Amino acid sequence: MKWQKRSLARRSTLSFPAIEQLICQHEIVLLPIVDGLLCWRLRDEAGLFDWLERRHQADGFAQARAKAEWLARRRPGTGGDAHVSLAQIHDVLSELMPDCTITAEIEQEAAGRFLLPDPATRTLLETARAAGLRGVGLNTHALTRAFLEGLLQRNELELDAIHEPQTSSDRASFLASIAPSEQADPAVMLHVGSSEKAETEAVTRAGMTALAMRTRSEDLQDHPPSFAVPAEGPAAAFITGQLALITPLSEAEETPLYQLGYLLGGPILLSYCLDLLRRLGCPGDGSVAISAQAARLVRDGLEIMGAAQAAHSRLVIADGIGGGHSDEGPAGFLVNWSEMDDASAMLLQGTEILDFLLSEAPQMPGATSARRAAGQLDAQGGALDFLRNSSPDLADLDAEAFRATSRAALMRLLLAPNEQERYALGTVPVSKSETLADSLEPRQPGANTAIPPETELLRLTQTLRDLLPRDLMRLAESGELAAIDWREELRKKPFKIGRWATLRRYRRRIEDRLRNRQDGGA
Amino acid sequence: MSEGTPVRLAVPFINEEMVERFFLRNPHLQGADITPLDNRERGVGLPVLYNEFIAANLERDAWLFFLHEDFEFLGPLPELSGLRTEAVYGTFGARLEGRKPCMYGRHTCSNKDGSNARKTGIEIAAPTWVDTLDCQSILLHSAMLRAHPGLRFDEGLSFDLYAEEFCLNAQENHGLSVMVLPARFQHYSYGRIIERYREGLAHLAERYPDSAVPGTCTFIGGRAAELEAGFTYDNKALQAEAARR
Repeated sequence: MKWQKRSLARRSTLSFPAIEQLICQHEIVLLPIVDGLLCWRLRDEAGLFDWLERRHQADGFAQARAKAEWLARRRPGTGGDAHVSLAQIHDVLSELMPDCTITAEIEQEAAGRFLLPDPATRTLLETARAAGLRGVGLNTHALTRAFLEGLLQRNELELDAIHEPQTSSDRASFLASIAPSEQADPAVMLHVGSSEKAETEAVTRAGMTALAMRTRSEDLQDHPPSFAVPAEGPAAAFITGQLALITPLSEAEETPLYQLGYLLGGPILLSYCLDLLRRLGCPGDGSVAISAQAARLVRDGLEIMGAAQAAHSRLVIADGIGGGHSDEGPAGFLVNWSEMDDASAMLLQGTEILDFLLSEAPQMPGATSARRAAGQLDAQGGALDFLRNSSPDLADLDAEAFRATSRAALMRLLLAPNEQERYALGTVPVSKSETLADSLEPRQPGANTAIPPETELLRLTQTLRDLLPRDLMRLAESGELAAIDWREELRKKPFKIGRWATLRRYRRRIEDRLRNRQDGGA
Repeated sequence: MSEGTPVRLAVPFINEEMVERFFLRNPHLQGADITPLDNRERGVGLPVLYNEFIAANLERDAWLFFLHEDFEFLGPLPELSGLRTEAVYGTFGARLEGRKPCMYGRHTCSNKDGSNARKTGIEIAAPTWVDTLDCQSILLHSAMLRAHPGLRFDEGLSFDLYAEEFCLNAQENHGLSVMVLPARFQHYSYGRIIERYREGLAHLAERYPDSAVPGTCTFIGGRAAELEAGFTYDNKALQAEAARR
């Protein structure tokens, strides 16, 4: 609750005690539903249109959809202020894009995926309710009331009433209609709204008190990413260039595992999904294998990135301890270490870290199962939020630059973690008694956080080598690994494809390393 | 929808030879209902002539097609059956894509004498939405004009930018869509940007202070400067005018 309060205060010009005091001076708190209690887990709403365009391969949808709403809101002649339904917007869209297959229902369903509770606004609602006030939601969005009620209920956001404007009415008429509906004096109403000047003025004119609070989207735009800012080269391009990624600082005070998921798992998952999309986008009927552990997360990731259904159908989930092979080579985990200089291989290795963080039962020594589950949700939520926030920019993404940047970010994190990252890395086991944090040096003040020099690559390689999938690690620790022949496993358990395939790759990796050493390589 | 609705072409002219050659003797327009609007003596702005034509044809359902005298159809009139009446149509227009204006409606553009002809605009196979239309041609349905009495050509403009203004008005105040229709034509249009054009831009900036849309030659509206910061039109007439200044 503490960080939500800080986050709330950051988005207002008032401190939290002042907001609390303001709430207590009123009887009714009016809260926006969309971009208020529920916020877009995308850079903004336009990101949803981009996502739908990619997902349904509907070229030009995003632009036409935005134009359709712009026109629909002006059609009643109220200067762009009119309340319109999603159906009305799609009516206009059908004029602009007659062959569009994305219906209002499809858009609504997609909105449900990306509209999640805003913790700061939830805090405000809870504060109001704790003080015995009525919490009233305002819907000026095109989504239907019934749909939003369902979303609110699903997210345990309880309101006393919901108001929405009559079709075609403007903002001023809507605000004026609330007091009679509530049978209350406007003076007892506190309206929480955006910091848009026109809105604040309209609220004041309606006789209510306006609490201007920047939306989560605005808040994101005001705060730069935290993890890659100091980096130079590709990382700087990552920030300012093709991918205008914005780290949700409103979540920066969340649990370290969320951050680790967001900052480390997110870029890796994105790179991994990009790689998969590239493979899945190749012509032919070939399939691409992913590990069962990563399957749900990767599927969610691909969905967020708007992969078409056809791509999903080509994903094969390999049971067992590792990933599998596509026709082009390794598709999951345990790629050949001799390829460590290759950036994409590095990122595939990174998926092993992801495996630790995001597997169904992450190993967290000393943690209770409840905490483990919470940690898993935090880390997964962070990684998926990273994708949600960055997916609107995927169309402009330079995949190579992104891979290089992700590699830099990964190296920076492993070589020079800050205290919070270090704490989070402390939850990643590398042996029975040690965690990943134990093998890392604490960051020195003023340490260079740019891409590490080549000599550091070897050290990083060693660190990454420690991060084997846990089943394989368990076998190694039990002393059985060296004795297991993958051919035997194949004969005994032919359908445990992932298990024997991983063991085979492990064996080949050892052989490659030995060969490299004999050849004088790394 | 408008199956069987008559089409009336309105062509203001000061060059009789052009209107004869491009319209009255155009084999693709045989039997078409063409009204040449002689502007040699009156010398009024085209919006005045267009509004008069609208007033004269408002009561009966018809498509009203306003065309410049230097516009030549190289094929049949665009297919109008199945079009919604509640929209503004033309044959060449601009749409902002990212920070760049894209021109839709492929056609030949040349000097008045036909020299220096080149292809311009993106080819379209079906009606395509845009932000604004070029003045060379604009198609309206009388039913739409009856339903929106506030939607008329701005007589504060004379020979430039009135189509762009009409599109802004139609979208900003009436929520109507603006579309480009596929057609085969040549526009004998290379000209000079003159002070009148600049005055038209200032007029639109004053009338639409919060708007910024792409036109076929420049950005338009009170916030045009914001778009100009991200893109510069490759417009020889503009560059020549800048050089003259």
